[in-house]
Amino acid sequence: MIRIGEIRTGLIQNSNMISLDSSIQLLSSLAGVRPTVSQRPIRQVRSAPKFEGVDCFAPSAKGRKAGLVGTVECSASLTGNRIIQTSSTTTITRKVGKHRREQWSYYLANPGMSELGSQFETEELIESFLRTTPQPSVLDLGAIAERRMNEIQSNTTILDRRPPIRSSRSIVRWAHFDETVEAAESRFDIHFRIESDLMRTLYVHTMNAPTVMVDRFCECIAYHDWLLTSVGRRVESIGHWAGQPHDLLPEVSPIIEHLLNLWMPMAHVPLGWSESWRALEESVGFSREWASYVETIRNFVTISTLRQLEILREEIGKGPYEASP
Amino acid sequence: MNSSVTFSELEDEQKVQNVQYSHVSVEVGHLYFEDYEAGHSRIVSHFELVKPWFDAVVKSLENLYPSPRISTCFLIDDYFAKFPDGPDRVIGMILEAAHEAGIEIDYVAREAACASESSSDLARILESRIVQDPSEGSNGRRPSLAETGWLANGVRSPGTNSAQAMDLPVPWSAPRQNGARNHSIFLDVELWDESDSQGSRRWSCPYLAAVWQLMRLGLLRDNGVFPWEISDSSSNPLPSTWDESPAVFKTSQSSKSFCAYRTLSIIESRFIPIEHAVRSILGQTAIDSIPMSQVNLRATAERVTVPAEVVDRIGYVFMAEG
Repeated sequence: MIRIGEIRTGLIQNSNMISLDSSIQLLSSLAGVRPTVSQRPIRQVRSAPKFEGVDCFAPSAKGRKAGLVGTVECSASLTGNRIIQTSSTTTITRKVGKHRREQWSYYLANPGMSELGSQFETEELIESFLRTTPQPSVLDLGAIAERRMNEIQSNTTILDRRPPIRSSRSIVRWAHFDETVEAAESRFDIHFRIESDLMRTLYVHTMNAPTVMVDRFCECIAYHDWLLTSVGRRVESIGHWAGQPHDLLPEVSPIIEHLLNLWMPMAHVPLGWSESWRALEESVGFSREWASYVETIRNFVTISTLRQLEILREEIGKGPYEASP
Repeated sequence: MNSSVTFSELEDEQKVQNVQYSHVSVEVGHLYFEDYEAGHSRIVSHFELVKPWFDAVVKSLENLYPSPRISTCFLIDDYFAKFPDGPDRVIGMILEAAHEAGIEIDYVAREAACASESSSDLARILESRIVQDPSEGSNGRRPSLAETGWLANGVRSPGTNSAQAMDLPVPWSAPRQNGARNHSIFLDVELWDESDSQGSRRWSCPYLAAVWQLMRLGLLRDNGVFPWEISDSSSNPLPSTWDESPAVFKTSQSSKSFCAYRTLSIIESRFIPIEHAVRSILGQTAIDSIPMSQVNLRATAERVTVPAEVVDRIGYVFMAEG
């Protein structure tokens, strides 16, 4: 079984935290189904999945023309009233029997799946999906996630489009391949790669773990990676100005106010994935990096405070209030 | 030391109402407003036309299931037609005429309830579940080319699309059905139009008939709840105004469940275009996974086969005109 997906992560375009009711309204995608809400340990509102039909070619670095017909599942979530993620995925199966397109109702009997019309090496498919920019008429999951993100972010009846921090949208493109191997224990291998400033790829290879929730696991990685990137940039700019008479508080306070409380590494790691998350933590060191950023920000605040106190003391020293001996 | 903690949040779990299913829901005919206007004898002769087919259907279902649960139903068009008489008179007349022809109707439903019923906007619920049949080359990059209020089963002729440039004459070429077998049967269905200057929607007959099929198949929910109130009219008198009417009247306490694993409609051939459109709409509808799996679980538990595709659960007997 192969499942592939693309995730967009960004900051919701609003100055204040948005209320629960507004979040629910913002993420309502399907009439008659309320988005789900979980409150602990951090609020997450999640839309019901919507589907979009595709009839195109599978990604192929070699330019092969293998037809892919089915539906892409698209969902959105808002975490901590601040971070918005949209995610598009499809599970790829091989067409059994004749290579012809079925009636559309056939594909809608199992929404979220796509059928590959011809033989294709699994490794080639995954490699091509993760590493190549989609050509015209080749499946473009990113475009679907991007469009959903744009729709949500441009909802000006709910959002004022004045976010407290300037930030970028990140891309995580992921693939999950599960192999059934008899008499073998289940096994998880995860390859996380930083492709560029804003793009990451993630390959999850499992054995005997055709687990659902891989989407959630990847979203969880995308969420924390986005926080690291966004806060990391600010910390860099603090470093740049350090020691100079520049008022950095306007740069730093929004991070403290809006982002630092959002780091919750185990909060939404789905059941069955905590071991993988820990392993990833160990090698990539997400939490170590985060801790060092938080430390830098705290030190900065302490130093600024001390400096302000120093200035204040000097002012008082010079001022008319100094008592004469 | 063994310890265990469970934590769950009510809000995070979607509660979806489970309903009961008959084996088959049989629709015993359908009439237009002018048929009612023609009076009692026209309606009796309609049900007399249905009767032999109905008997044949029951017989074949008895061969298929050891003890078949069959419920009969009839849809009354109070959406497009404005009856001068109330449901007490009109529904009373239908039940009587059917009885005279030897058919007992278990449920009478109102077509207006397929558009919206109390707070449930069923037409909108179906609309947001439509997943358009993608034409060749749809890779997700652009949203599918939708004509507002219309749904096609393929690619429209160029030059007939309002989104194209007005000034360039585009030569005609044939429309194409997606996934056609050799040749196309292209269909473009009008889902709704705007009935007044305020832009309120008037849903089309096949669109409401699609909701009707899904309700009979027990596949629609509104925030987890089965959206129709089924009123037992064997114990309550029929109301005298349409506005006060529930969605469905149940005529006998011994009636089998309204919803069923499959539906069968015994209707005249003049309804073939409507049903073709209904199938085209339902062939482009993604049903919520929870009611879908509820049906499968129940069916499996009693060893009944339910086709995976919703359109395959819908059957017909098309009769020649009387």
